[in-house]
Amino acid sequence: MPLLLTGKKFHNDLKTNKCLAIFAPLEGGYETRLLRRMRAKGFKTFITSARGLGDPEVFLLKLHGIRPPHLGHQSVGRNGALGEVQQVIPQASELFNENDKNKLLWLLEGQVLSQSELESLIEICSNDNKLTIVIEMGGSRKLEWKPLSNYILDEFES
Amino acid sequence: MNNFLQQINSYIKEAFNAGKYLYNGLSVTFDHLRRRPVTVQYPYEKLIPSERYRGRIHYEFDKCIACEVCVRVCPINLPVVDWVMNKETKKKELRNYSIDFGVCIFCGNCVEYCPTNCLSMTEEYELATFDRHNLNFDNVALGRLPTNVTTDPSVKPLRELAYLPKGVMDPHEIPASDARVGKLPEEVYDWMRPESNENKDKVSNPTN
Repeated sequence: MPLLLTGKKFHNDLKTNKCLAIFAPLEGGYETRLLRRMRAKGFKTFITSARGLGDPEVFLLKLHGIRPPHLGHQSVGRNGALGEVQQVIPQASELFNENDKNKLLWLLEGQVLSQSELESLIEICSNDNKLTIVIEMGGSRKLEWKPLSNYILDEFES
Repeated sequence: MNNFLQQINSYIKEAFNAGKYLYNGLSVTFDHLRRRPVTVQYPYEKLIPSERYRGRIHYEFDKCIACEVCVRVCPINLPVVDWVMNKETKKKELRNYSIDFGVCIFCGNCVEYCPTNCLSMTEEYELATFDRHNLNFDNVALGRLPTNVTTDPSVKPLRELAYLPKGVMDPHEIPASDARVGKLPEEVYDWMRPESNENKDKVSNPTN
């Protein structure tokens, strides 16, 4: 049935909760289908993986420094071990090109994030009324989702 | 007449040989007809990595003394240790630590040589990203607990061949309670340890 899904319920849930934890079948494909439907409903979307994010709020939404590896064998010591710190633009910066549009940030592999990091994502959403976040928290037989706050309650506070 | 009989003879021989070669060629196929495939159906089933698997490196910021031994033993000086010298305390202050897993070859030298054991290898091996720059893990990303294949209830974890019971080749229908072949190091130790004084004598004087 997922091919025929209209995304209406998903859209309503996203509008009311702003931050959803999603459980998708392992074969994948659901995220792009839902993203396409949300784009059709006027969202600007961005998909990335939560693995490898440093502090999620900073890496996704703020200017942050990265230390790129140097390639090739260099002298050991102060210069060899550290190149310069590069300030890079936030990873989700393309969401913020047009400020009047609703924004959907889709994070894959959210299992790696800790409780406080998930809570910080909820807080980001509540601060920005145009921004919504969908985060994949694991696999499932069929596509299902719940508000991220409920997920945190079920998972960490029981 | 003789010529005709010879022709029939060679025809029968050839027909027989053709059958034989068919059977020879397909015997491997027939041999495998009765067993199930041992293939692991990846997103639904995943192999549990072996005990000394070298996956993503885990890093503990609080233990690190910024000695840069990991940089020195790395074949390409990959870890970036960002520290500054605090002039007052004359101690190094670690600001950031990062390893780029797009470049890392997972040789484990840094883990082997780290004097405070702040680096360790994990069993996390799924490191696919949309952008290679996301593989540059900083100390927060490196400090996250590794994911493993047994946590997701929709994934069926399977044991590798060396961890299956004796004689079993297919990991699919083995209950988790079946012990692996061979003994673990602590089991070997229990088996070697003499239980009473009588046994102790036997072990110390094997000739008696």
